[in-house]
Amino acid sequence: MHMADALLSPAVSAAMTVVSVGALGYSAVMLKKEEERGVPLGADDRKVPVMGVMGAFVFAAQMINFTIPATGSSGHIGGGILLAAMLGPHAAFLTLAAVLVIQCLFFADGGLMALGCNIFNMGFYACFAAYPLIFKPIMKLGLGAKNITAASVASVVAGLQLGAFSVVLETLASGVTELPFGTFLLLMMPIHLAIGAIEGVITAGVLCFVMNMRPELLDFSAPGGFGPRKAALSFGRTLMVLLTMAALIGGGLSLYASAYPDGLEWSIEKTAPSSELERTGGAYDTAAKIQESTAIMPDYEFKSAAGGDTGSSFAAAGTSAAGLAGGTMTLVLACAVGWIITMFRKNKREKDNAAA
Amino acid sequence: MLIVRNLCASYPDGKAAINGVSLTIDDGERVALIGANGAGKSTLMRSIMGLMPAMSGSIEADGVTLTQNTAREIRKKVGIVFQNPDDQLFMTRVFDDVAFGPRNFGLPEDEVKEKVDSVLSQMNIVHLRDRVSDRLSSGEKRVAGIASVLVMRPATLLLDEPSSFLDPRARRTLIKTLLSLPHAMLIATHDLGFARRLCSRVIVLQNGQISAEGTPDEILGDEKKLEDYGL
Amino acid sequence: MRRPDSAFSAFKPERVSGLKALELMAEGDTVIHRVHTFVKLTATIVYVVVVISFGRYDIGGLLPYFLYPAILTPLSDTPWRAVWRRLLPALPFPLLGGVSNIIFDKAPMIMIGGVALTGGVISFASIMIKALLSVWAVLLLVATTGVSELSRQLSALGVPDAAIVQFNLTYRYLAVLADEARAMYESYILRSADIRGIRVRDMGAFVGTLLLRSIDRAERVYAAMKCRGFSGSYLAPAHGARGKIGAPDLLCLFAVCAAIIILRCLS
Repeated sequence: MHMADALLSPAVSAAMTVVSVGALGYSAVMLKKEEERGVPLGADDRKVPVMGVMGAFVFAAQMINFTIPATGSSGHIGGGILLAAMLGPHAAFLTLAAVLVIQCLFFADGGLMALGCNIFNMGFYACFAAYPLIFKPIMKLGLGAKNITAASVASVVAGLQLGAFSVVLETLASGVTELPFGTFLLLMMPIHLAIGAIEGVITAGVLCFVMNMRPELLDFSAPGGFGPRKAALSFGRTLMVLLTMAALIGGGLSLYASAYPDGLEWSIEKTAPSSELERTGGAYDTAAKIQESTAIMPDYEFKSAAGGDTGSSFAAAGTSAAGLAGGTMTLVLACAVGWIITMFRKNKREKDNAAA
Repeated sequence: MLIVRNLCASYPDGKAAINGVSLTIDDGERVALIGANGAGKSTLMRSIMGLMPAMSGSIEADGVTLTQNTAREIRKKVGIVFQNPDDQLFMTRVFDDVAFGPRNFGLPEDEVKEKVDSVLSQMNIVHLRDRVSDRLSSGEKRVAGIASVLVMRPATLLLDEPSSFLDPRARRTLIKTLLSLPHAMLIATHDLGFARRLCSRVIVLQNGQISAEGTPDEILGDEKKLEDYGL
Repeated sequence: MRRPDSAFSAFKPERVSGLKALELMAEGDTVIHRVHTFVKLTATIVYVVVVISFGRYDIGGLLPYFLYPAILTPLSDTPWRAVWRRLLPALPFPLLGGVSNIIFDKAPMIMIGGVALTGGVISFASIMIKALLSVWAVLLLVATTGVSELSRQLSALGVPDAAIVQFNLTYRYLAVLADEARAMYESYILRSADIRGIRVRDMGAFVGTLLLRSIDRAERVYAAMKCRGFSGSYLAPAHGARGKIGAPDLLCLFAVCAAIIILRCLS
């Protein structure tokens, strides 16, 4: 479910980065507060190595792939709920963020610009929505294998579904693909339902195992464990955070979407092509001007031309074909330069080796 | 000088791990601590470092008695090298790992650098300075682990199974390195040959108590007795 | 013969071995390795932002950006094989997103040799090119900059010590725990006659054991930290960058960023 750079526009990527950095800051502050609220002696600074090693554990656990029946595709655990159940939601979120940064840098899982999206999609929902709103309430009914299983499956599935839904929204808001909302949703949700069900079962298995072996380690079976002593995250507080986040994202995205009729709005536009023509004056003109001056935004003029009648589409295509030819020439140049430098360095290395 | 008096320590579940251990290690003396698995060797070392939650008795290093408040002070005077170097080297780069202790004690960065470099050259591992910890050989990891403790200038070293994970050559090198150090040492080991090469005194631990003490010849020379000690 | 209940899970440790190859590359000593980390980090970010800023039909504008990796890859002695290996696993998701363009956007756009390319084909190509370039640029960054050097730079840029320590510890124990998982997996496989992976019903105990071992390890690491004066306040692995950023570095940064941005404005 790692979002890729190629499917994102800079604006969506920036908005999600801001949101994720905000959530990280919030977690760090909350973690600090938990520590100050008198955890047993020595347990406060223990979190540093525990979080670090648990991050590495997530990697190791993710190397175990499971196949999803009847689809032929495979998945692995995301580990969000598992971490939250062991470390508490704040520490879990920070730990997952570190995991995602390492995956992005060293494994090409998700891009650099998509980091904000990925931290949000895979960390935020699991730690700050599914865990406090689904997992913990179910566990309040009593500690036992049945409840753990129900809580794990429900919260993992919910977290993954929210994450998958976000991927769809982010992709559409970026307006890079033509995938219609419904189709994309139909592609993403069922597969993540299946992955979520299996991950939920595995998570439940792991938590039951831990409950039998070392129950004091679990966040939700306090006292003990590495998590906060009391449920530091009350329902109301969680809701507040969620709403703030939703407002932030909604605000960021709608601002973007209204300035550039891309993504969601674009899919509406497809069904009513005339909307583009009616959009004159006011905000749209200003936005178009801004867009012209800031070349960093996705090039829209061209698309609106293509969205019109076929004649103008071909007119636009003429310039594009010329551009394509020029581009191809630079590609050939790039290959040549790369090849020449490679050969040059190879020769040099061979000479060095001969000399040595 | 390290003095342990009537030390008792128990596991978190309340089971006694160390039961009335008293021992003294003089400056520059190397003492071997032997005993079967589960005899309490590692726990004894962890207790001396103040890592066990429930303890009684007293531990004194160079005149400082271990209390909740002096734990940091004691850890400057006594250094411990853990059995698994992967637990000991937790930083990605060897330099940062060796620098971890000095930085924790708030030394300025140029002083940290100076100290680290001098320890690395003392241990002959300057070439490992910028290497990634994970890619060192077991022998290199072991020596880097010792360097990360030595950099804090402890008077006494506790070594937990230092010869484990080492091939014969790395083991020989380690013996040479340890012999060249002036520190007092308490070496917990199953490697009796290793103990004989290094130590002038051997302490046998059994069920959390000292069951014998003597020179290597007295203790290690008698096979039947060793069998009785569970070795 | 496979048992009916052999819903299995496969173990894929090769990812971690790729990590070691990457570390080896980062230990190289070329012109690119010697460039200040700040320059490399900034250039990478500027490059990726500019690449993904291109409109969906603007392949002509995107293609010149191949020059960046084409020059840096051989200059930094990054093996082409490593590039290829890294790119492959990163492409499926963009592919999924991109294929739909071919299906849904059928308006012809360019005539090449009498064949009309549809808008979908062009936007598909641009997505794949973006995917290629963005992943390649990040690979070049980490293949020429070690982990500790990178975290040093992040620390100098004001990333909190806690985050740096978290990043470093996770990275440090990644291979260690992966190795532990591999050993467990092998012993499991050797004892389960004709099963090709871990049965889902054993996964709880398997991953659970790995988890408890990880926690135990964390406890030992904690003890080792405490014995060396750790008292809870975080310490970044390195304070201050390797060297002061020099005039040539700044000039290099300026030149690269200017080239990237000017190319964008021209297209």
